[in-house]
Amino acid sequence: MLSFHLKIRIFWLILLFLIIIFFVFRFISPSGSWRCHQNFKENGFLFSSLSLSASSCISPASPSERVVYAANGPLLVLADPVYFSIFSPRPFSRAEVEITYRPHLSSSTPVFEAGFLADAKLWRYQLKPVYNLWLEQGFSSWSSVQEGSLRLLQRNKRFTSVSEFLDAWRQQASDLCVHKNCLAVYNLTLNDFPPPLDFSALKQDSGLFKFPYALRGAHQFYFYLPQTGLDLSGSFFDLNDNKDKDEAQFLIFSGQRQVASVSLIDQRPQVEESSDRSPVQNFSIARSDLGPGLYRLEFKANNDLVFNSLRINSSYLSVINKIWPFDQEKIFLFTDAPYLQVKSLDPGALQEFSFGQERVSLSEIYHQYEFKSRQGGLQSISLERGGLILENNGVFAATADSLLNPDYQRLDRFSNLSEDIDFVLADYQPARAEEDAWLHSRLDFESSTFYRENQRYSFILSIPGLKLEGGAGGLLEIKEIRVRFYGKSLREKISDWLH
Amino acid sequence: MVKAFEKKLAIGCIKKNDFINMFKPKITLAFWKKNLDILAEEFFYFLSFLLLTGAGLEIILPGFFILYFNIAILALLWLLTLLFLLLYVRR
Repeated sequence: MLSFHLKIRIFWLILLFLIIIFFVFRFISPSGSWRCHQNFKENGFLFSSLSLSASSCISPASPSERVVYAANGPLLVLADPVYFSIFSPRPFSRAEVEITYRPHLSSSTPVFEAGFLADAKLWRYQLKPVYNLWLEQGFSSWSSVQEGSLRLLQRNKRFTSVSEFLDAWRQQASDLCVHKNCLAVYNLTLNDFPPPLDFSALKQDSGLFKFPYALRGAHQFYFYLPQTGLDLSGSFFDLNDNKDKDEAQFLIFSGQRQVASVSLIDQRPQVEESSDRSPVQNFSIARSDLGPGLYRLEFKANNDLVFNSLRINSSYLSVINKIWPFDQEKIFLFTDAPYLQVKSLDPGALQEFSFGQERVSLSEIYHQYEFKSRQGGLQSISLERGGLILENNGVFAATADSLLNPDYQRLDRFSNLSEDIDFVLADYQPARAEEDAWLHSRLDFESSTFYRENQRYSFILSIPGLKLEGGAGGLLEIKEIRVRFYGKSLREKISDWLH
Repeated sequence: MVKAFEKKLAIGCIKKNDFINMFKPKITLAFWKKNLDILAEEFFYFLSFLLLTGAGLEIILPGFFILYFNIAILALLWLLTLLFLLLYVRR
């Protein structure tokens, strides 16, 4: 007969063994799914913040000053963006996010998006729309057609389905518009469709164009090849301010298709974080097989790399959405968007400069300033020196003649919903209304390429334009976030190994 | 054996309460007093091993163990059992 002492010991050893088995089971997730849930409306959140229960797999929101945890109430998001980290024991290939929220947004903050960190090097999040004020309320008098996830809004009802509109647009886009650019899009790229730009009207010069300014960090460009063959060259150097190795990549895309790439490995002898500048290195990409047409060049690098002397056999070269000039001399740029977001990370770059016909000034570092121009059309930017990060939803070019923007108008927070727009096409699922004016949206992501560190995905809630100062733009109430990850089940993995 | 027991029950040698008491656990207050030191010691060992398992898991998979266990409460219980062991358990 076993003694009491031994019985107790066997009991807790079995219990410990079962706990370990439970963790192994949860780690493997044999069903191939993992669920995370955070209800901010329940007492649970305050309860858990008092450390009485185990932690949630969705971390508290950060930075904490941008949110308020109301007692027994929802999470209030007061400024953009707000980050969460979501635990998962292993990587999964698909993520399904459900958010229950109540938006109190205005025309300056019409877009609410959520997403995951997809590229940690460039700090790029893959965002999907949760709520778009324009699409939910802005076109109430317009005719609306939903087909799958695509939604077509028409000023005057002409098409009965989205596919009918797309066929017509592909064949005779210009005939459908009374005004130029009568189609605005949201969360959509119409790569296979005629661009809102007449390429035949572009100049067909074949000489080399030199971009006159040095640019710091990652940049993307549009360029147009008038004839077959690409000849691209330039140089770059390493500032060695950051601790990481500074590898760079040049990628060239035609639509969504990658047509060329060059990787530059960091084998420079200078020590990282030493601020010891590397000698200038040259690079060139020559491809005789690239046909005439529009291309996108992506320079993937971190902020330590500065590239300059960019030469290309195209008269049209425009920087997409963001430009960070590095030169310490006067800089002249052009942009096609009537607004500018400007940030400085360096006190030495703070300055007064002109945008359009306005004189504007920056007095604080790390503060994002927003400037709007009163005039329409092309805007000129004249900087005293570089070091400022300039962003908008248009393109930037060194000369007015080299500016090229083949994108459709985007229905974002800077849209003016002008009379020129006759059609709006969006990849957007309308929010589902629940009781007490709560809305529910569901987003699907392909999560296999998402960045994951310490078993956690980085998740973001973004309401561009929402600021703490003076409560500009309103606020957002979040009642619940529910995340489900899906991947291969144990049975599928075993059958994969066996075959 | 069962038949013999049923026979005894039938002739009244065994009363119904005796029958019920046969299946009642023999854990009394005296039993607890006698074995309290064993229980405290084993509970201390259990918590120690659980915390060690948790520490190991947190090194391999940060954030996994704390999804299901509150470390603060486990550590507090562990400290209490340690204190109890130091104060009351005689060798």
